[in-house]
Amino acid sequence: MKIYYDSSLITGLGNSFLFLDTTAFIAALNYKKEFGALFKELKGQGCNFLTIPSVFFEFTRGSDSLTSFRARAKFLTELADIWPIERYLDQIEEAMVVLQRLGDRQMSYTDFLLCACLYKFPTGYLLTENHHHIPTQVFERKAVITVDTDKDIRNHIVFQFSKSKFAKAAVEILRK
Amino acid sequence: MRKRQADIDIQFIDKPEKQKADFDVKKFKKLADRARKTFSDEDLLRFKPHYWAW
Repeated sequence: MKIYYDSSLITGLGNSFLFLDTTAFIAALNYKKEFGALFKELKGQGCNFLTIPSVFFEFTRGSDSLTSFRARAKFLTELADIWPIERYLDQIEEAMVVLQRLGDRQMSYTDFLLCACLYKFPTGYLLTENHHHIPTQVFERKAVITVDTDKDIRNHIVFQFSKSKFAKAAVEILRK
Repeated sequence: MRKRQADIDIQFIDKPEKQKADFDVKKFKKLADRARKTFSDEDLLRFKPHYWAW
């Protein structure tokens, strides 16, 4: 198994916030050696890992016992802080309208909330494998992390909010 | 200021802040192993992007 990414990823994410979605936590579980090394490098550059309550819910969903739930919860909370974006939805009215219009039918509430996090923290990043759910009319793909396994090739994308793209999209959508 | 729920180690932070720079890979792997055991292979399929792309 191999993991590939541009070396500029490490310095690029230095001293920034990196939001992790559920697929990122799953990848970290499945490819712990590769992601463990990547996370160590990122942490060493001052990158801070964050997630949101609905990712916590998705990740722990299906636990068949309290012990299982706690094992999943411990893994997630040791890796990332949980920031409740839901408390701030009243501050991102424009983003809500734009993202609701641009998000495809597959965009879940969790995807929307993670996008809202990037809007709220424009210097932050999101790591996700569900790149089809993140509207590129508003977000930039900054990096690709490829995991090459025996069975398949998995691509995880680092996204960042683009003020200029958002401004352009907002003009179109909010003028009505 | 952080709020802690009794018994279970879940914290919601009030605002994102700088975390400790050190990262214990050994501890990370140990917690990953423990959590991974709680997922069946079928569970993990739910998280594959193509699963949602139909």
